[in-house]
Amino acid sequence: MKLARRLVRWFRVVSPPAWAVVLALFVQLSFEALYRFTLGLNDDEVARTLGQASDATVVGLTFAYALFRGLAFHPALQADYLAWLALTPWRSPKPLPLGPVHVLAQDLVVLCLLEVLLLDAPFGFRPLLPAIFFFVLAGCWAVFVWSTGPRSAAYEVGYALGAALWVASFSYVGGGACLVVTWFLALHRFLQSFAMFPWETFRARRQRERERRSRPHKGQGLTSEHTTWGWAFDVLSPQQIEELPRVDRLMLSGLAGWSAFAVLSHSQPKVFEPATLVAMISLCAGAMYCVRQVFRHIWSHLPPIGLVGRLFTGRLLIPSYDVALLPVVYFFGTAGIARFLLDKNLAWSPQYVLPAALTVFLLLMNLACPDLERWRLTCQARLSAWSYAGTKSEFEQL
Amino acid sequence: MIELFGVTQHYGVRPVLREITLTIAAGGVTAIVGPNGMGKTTLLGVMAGVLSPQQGEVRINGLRRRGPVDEELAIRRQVAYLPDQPWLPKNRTGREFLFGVGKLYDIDDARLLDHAERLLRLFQLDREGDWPIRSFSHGQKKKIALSAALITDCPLLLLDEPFGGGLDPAGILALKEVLKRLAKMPGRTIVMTAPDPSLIEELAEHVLVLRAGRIAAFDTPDGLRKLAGDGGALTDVIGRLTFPEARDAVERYFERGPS
Repeated sequence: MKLARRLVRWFRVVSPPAWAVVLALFVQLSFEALYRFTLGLNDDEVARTLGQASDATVVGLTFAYALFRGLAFHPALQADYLAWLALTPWRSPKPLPLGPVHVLAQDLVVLCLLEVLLLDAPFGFRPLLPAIFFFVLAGCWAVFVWSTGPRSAAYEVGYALGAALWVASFSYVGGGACLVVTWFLALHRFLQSFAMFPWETFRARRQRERERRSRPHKGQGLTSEHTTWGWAFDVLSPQQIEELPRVDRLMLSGLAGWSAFAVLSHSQPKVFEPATLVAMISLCAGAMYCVRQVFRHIWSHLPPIGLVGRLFTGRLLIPSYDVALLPVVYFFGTAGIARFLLDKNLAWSPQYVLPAALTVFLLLMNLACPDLERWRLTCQARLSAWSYAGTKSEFEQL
Repeated sequence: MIELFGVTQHYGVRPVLREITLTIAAGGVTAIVGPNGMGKTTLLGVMAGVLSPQQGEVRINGLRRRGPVDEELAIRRQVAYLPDQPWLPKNRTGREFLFGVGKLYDIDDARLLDHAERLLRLFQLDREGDWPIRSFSHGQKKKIALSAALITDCPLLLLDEPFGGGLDPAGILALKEVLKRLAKMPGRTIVMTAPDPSLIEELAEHVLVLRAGRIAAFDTPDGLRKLAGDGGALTDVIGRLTFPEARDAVERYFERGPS
């Protein structure tokens, strides 16, 4: 009894909530039980399908566990925890009170248990679980390094993960070796980001900006930026628009394309069709991104004349305003060209066309769209009433 | 020792603290009292480093708050701040949380185990200590948060309304006794806010009365009674200091009959 209690306490450090564990086990064991049952009925087709579903569930559970371990205990994801931690004398490498963010022996035990669940899977299938676990973990760390540490380090890890995935498409051993090297690189960068605590997260920057707008005098703080305090009525000035630097936009666009290319290199049409999947995801994400970008511009700045007015006056285009609609042109343009190249007559490989189209679309969106602040100041537009008199306007908030 | 020099704090364009200059000597309990919205929590937040004042500066044992990194870290090792609504890890047990906090403050393992046990027993959480915090009641959450502040062994405790938040009578009694005894230990200073002066009457050696963002009075309870020209209960004394027109206001209310 004591041993069991100790074991539970030992596992609790990394374990997901009990309901999640029970649900996961229920789903997996149900598939496994059905598979075993159909084996006895001599229906090979159904048994094979259920066996694959059971194995896929284990892969999914590994992915979910890695995601949980990557995200659940990091302070940057929980604003209250981060704020509390920043008030304590915590410094890396002291243990984090909510839970560990690095890999522990418990994680390896969980991986072994998941391997046990892959009862009838071929031996070559087994390294997939640790590969998924460490890949997802490194991916999560890269995201955290991006938001808390030097972004260049996050790009290193992101591109290296893509490379590991790509190499694995023609050599599992090579891919595994790449993943090991990338994982240690990610770990190193991750630990470096913790050494930089307290971080300049987006929330912290917004808080500082709010403070800056309400400071009457200069003062000194923990960082040099704290010396740029304004005066009390700065609060009445418009908020600054925070945009990503161009180099980051460039790197992120490239990373999206590179990741798509790496995924598409694992084309196994009999198992699943990555090209269709990537195309669908890209189209949905691209459309949402496009709508967001257009809406950001036009919600507060309406066109000077409506569609009917344009037709009657012959002013079909109002260039200074209509540049805000460029994302729509880019979206349909790149999607159309990609569709044309994938046509049966040309038969270009989707492995090259889709990543290229995605990269070009993102580059155009990020580097060839009007700058929001500049557009707002110079375009021919009508200010919408809700932008300056609604409940969300800055004047109302005051 | 806590020193504040000309501290002014405002939220947006609304001033909350105006030119506060004061020194709280090491040792004993100091209570900050005053009507709602007069800046008690803000003043404690400024001392805790949660807020950096727009004007003036705060020094803790001679070290400047939110100044150089080394000084700020040295201060954090000496100060435990308990806000009114503290962060708690909902999926961890109370005991795990206490261990985690103790580790942050470099408390020795043996001392930590023993102290956590005693704190859980003190607040009648010895059974619930192994339950996830999300299953705690409102008052139990307050108790575990208080325990977390106490387990740090910090010489300076800044407590925002420690007696509020659904604490039961047994908890209030336990906390009162603990704070009383801690305050007698050499080098231990406790600063706390309290909306109800009756709770701190037998506890506080010094009382700081805030009114409209300024210090209306800062003295011992007896000193405040002399200042108010009355030897009554501390609640009445503080009421008169913070709202001298209180009696007139009551008279005016009943002028046309108590309808």
